[in-house]
Amino acid sequence: MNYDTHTILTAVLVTLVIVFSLRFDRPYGSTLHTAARHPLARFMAGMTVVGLAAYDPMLGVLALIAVFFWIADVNLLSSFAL
Amino acid sequence: MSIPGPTPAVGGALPTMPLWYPPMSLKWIGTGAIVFAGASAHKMPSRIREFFASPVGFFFTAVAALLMFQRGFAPAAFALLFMLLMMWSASQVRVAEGLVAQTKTEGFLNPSSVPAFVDYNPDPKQRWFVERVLGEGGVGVQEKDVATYPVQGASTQAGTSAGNT
Repeated sequence: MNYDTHTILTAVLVTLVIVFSLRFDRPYGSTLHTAARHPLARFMAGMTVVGLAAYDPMLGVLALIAVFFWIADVNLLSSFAL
Repeated sequence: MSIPGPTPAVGGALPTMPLWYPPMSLKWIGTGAIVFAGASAHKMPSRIREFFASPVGFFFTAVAALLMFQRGFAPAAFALLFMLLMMWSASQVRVAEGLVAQTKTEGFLNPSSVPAFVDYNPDPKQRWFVERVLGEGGVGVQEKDVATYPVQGASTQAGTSAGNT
């Protein structure tokens, strides 16, 4: 099966959305959780969203959801046993 | 035999563009500025954050993002949405102006909708001494109705009063 860049980026972003939906201390540790407070990390995340939106708006949507879940600590799946 | 002239510069400072122009597009500079504003939303005055978090500000910012998308420049639309979400997220955190340093953002937005048991009081005379000294916000402090329960069924003394005193 031929995986192009768009498919790989979509899979990566969907995985990030799921990972950031989990409880913050178990899947990716508190370091990344603390980094979400740093303005430089937020700026880099925002520019990543903008860059992906320039490449494809749908990828920008996924990136925006992932970044917002990371920064605002939205744990949609943390209430369910995985 | 003709000698070829110098190769024209590609993408350089052509006469069609003034020399004082920055070396990148102005719309990308504006997009970066919007992202920067969103990244430093927690350092902005609370009035600005509250404006973007209010229904009117939220609506008009979203409309501005929609217009930018309609005009064909999607990155600026996503930058506006990013800034809007950062402003809204920062407005959820209660930081008293002048009492708590703006660089200290206390906690994150709690997604479980658990209310704060003690509201944050910005008046320094009505705060606990420890909160005044350490600059803390007394959010989530429950100072009454402390419940204790005896240990039952955990030892051979269960059911008696021997281990529960």
